[in-house]
Amino acid sequence: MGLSISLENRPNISPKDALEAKLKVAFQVLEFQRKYFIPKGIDTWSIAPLESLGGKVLDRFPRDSDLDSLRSRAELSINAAPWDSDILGFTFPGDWILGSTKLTGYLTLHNKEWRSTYGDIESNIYPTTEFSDLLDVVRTNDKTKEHLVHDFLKDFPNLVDKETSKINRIYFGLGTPSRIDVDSLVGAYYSTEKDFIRDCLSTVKEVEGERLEPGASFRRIS
Amino acid sequence: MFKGCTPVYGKPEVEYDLNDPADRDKLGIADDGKFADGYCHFQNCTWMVEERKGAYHIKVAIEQLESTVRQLLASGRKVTMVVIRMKGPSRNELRRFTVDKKSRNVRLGNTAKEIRIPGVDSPVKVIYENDLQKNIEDLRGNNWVSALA
Repeated sequence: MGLSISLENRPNISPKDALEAKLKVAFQVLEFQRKYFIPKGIDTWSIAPLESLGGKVLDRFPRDSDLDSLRSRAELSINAAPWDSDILGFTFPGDWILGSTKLTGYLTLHNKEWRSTYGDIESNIYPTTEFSDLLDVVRTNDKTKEHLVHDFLKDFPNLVDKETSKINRIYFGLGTPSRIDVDSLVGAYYSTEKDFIRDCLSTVKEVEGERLEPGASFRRIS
Repeated sequence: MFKGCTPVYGKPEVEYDLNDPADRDKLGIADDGKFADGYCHFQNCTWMVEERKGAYHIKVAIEQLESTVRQLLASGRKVTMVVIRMKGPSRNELRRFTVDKKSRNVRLGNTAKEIRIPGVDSPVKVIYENDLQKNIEDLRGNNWVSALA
């Protein structure tokens, strides 16, 4: 299950404050998933999450699953100028333990540039021959599915401190869940009905737009 | 399920299934989940690393390729080509990554810059299951053009 969380853009907030608020939400996700996902460190990167995508690893803090020390490390990276908070991102590599299945995975905080594709916070497994996506594993156990999908969508948005952040959308689905790959979604949360309708309309426009190219002819239905 | 490298230049002469712990041990690749599916050698001297994706996720595929290539190069192995084989593109990632129809090279959408794994000269290539034969022919044809240039 790719999990993708998008936060509401807050006007008049500094990039540093925005990143700190996003980090706070990420740690709340880690707390929520604690029974199933054990982080094993934190990588701080700039520009892009991978070197081949133009990114650079600024700090690697491995082999620690204590959330407080991971939080301190992340805050240290944010406060350690000269890098700009706008281009900073974090990846928490870790292990997903779902019943008797143990898989390597990650939770990533994307920066301003990459959030448009993967959301502000993204989480999944590294695929194996048996499981191509976290969703495949989650589906094997009803209790896990209830907690990680149903309870998460229902309860998590209310746990977030609305003074600093607001969850805009949450998508659960195969691969890279988003509004434009509707067929891969298994669950979604919208902060308002308006957002849901807006998503539906823009999806229809996007999908149908491919067929309704200029010059296309239409058959009149009488 | 990985069933051997894609026969881009005929049947591979040497082949490692990286999902097999014994093959990973032979190559010194860590069991950290971030490894590709296959590493193989073709008669035309190409050493290829291949990642197959059941679910759409080009970024994760690139991450797995990057990690595998880094470890292979560190142990003195050669890598001249990296390929992602997937069902098809997701609309979401197509806004970020574009795939050149002829060369099959992946580009970053906003810069049109080809994506290269550090240490490998050839850009990352993507082939789709639903047009596999044609995509393989494109890769072969493109290689001949490069060889003649």
